[in-house]
Amino acid sequence: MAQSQTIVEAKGVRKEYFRKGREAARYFDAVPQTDFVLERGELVEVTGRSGSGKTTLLSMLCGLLTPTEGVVLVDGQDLYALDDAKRSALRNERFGVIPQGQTPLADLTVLQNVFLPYTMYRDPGDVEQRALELLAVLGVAELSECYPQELSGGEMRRIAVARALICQPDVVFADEPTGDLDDHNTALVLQALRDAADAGAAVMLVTHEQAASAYADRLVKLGQ
Amino acid sequence: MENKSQPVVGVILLVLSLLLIVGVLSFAGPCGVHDDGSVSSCFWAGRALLGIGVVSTVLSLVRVFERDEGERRGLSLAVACLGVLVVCVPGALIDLCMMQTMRCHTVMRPFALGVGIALALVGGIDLTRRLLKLRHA
Amino acid sequence: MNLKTYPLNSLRRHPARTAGLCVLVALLCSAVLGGSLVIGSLQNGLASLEARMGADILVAPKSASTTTNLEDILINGIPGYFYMDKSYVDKVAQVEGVERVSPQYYLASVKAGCCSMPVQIIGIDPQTDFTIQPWIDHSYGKELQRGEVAVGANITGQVGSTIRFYGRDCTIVAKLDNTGTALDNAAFCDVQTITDLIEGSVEQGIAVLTNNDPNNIVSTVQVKVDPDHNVQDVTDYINLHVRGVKAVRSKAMTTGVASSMAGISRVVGILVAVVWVLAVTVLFVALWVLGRQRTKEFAVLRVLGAPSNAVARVLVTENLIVSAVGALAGIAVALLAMLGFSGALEQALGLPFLLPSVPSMAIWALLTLAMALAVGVLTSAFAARRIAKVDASQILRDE
Repeated sequence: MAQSQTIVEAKGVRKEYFRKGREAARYFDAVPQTDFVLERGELVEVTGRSGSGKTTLLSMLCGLLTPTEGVVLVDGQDLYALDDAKRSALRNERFGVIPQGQTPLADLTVLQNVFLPYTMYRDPGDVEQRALELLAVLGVAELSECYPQELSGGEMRRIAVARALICQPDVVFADEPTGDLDDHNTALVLQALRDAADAGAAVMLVTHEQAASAYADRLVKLGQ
Repeated sequence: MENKSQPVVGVILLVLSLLLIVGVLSFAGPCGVHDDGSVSSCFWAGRALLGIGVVSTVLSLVRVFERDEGERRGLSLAVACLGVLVVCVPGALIDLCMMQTMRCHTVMRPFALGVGIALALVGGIDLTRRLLKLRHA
Repeated sequence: MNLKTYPLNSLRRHPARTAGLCVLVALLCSAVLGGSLVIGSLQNGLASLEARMGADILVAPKSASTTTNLEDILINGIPGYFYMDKSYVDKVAQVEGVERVSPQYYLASVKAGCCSMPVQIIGIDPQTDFTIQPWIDHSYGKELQRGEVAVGANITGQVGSTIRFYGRDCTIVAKLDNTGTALDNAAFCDVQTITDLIEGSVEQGIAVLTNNDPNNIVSTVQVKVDPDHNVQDVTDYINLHVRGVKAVRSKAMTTGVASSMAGISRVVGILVAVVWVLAVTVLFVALWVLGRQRTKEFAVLRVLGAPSNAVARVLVTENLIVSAVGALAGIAVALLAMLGFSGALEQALGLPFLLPSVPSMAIWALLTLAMALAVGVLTSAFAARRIAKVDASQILRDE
């Protein structure tokens, strides 16, 4: 049977938060009822004003945040029907997540940061070599033995990208991966995401970067 | 981190050596001089410990400021050996008093044992680490 | 690098923090084990003293200011001597309720090659003695002969070597087991030997005797009371009807020791409890604060695919390592300090003090280790529970 192009599908997902303070707005929808689809080989750019729910939607789709309503299907399987252990294993095996901000782990070298997701569930094998190759693509191979405290913000972002790609994921979730980067390095990162999509992965790119449109197959605007 | 740990080892050895001297001269000294001016054998054990303490202090002080890797290893070895000597002096190399309740048995000997073992361990571990690093370099 | 090696790596990367936590745990364990061993040693010492006393009643000459001198010799370890006529042995033996009697002879040496410290010499009648002889039997197995001495554990002398008292050479034939009492500072011999020594002391001009013939004196009479009779009644009878002597219940002497010991044990126990509460509180607060500081780190691990229980396990493993290392260091320090300074401690406390046996100390050490590990796991469990509930997406969004 031919593999469906749709890998991640959100049906009617909504996220409600309780906000203290204002009497009139006790509960508010961070993400109103939304349908969303990610297809294999596709890079989807997601934009929207601040507070439109981009990061919240990304978190729900990658299994980090249980929706108040709706389902998230991964190859037809309800993601949130799985227990935490299975969902975490799935996220490790099939997803690559690039969170917002500076997220390399301070106690590990750059190289260890990159291959940690792989060795969480697998024997290392030749993962160190693959990690070095990824770092080379992103222009930071010479920093492999450094610790994050010795790096600039832009270098840390590129390491987070390499870390997300080490397990050759089926889906890449990237939340503002090009913040703090200059034009040259922005292009390196976007090209790496484009290459992942061309290799068959589904890529969800949350960004304000103007240059991203040139790499995207589809644009989704939230908050309209 | 390696550069930071070097003076730390020397300082620890220096503190232990000074502790040995101060201890033997005060709270952990041998039994006193008798009324007739004679001394017990433990008096000489105390003297020996004092002498070793002085030598160890000098070597440790040099160790604090020494930069050459080979010299550092040699100094750690020397102080470690002095630590072993400190352990052996009271009771083994030089006899102490006949009664186990005398101060040389109850305070001086365990104090010397503690300081001696600490000197031997710190010096020995530092030397071992440096030799292993040399082998893997 | 994987989640199994992650905890050790974290600890290595923060040596000051790790050392600080280890020191805290070491302090806790040192206090607990050290305090327990002190209390245990005091209890052991008291039990040993009561066993050594053996006799129900001790009869001494009235002129020896009675109890005080006896306590000095038997409990406080201050060498002394006093004498009465040998006929008192028979007089006491004839008292109703007395099952058996045995004389003892006390002499204090002046210089015996031991740093001018007097040594208590105790002479016994091996045929009749029932307090010291069983103890000698345990270590030596034979009766002491003329010119032979058995020495207590605190006298430094090899078996087979010679020790000189009052110009008389005696051969050390046995070294007795440690009792933690003043009797460890004494030398023991038979009647003939101590008579020789008393004669020697007279020759050297030490006036231990006034008018007595060395062959017709004793220092005390040890009395065993018939189980059908009341010890206090027999004591009172001797005091009323046997002139020139004072009878003392041995229990009366140990009661004072027991109450001093109980007081010190209570103080030590309170100190240990205070240290324990403080250390556990500080440990708990430190781990809680550290856990909060590392919330983002744990959130990132969750994002990478670590399940919440694996992340909690990282924290608990770190704390177990710290607890184990700290506990071992603390236990080592406590054991070395107790083994090394038990003599000084005994002298400072002025009470019978006998370290527990090696198996007992090993059990105490293991219990202390178990306690430290339990504290480490419990204190990290609170932080671990919090981590398990962390909303990774919220933590990372706040950046």
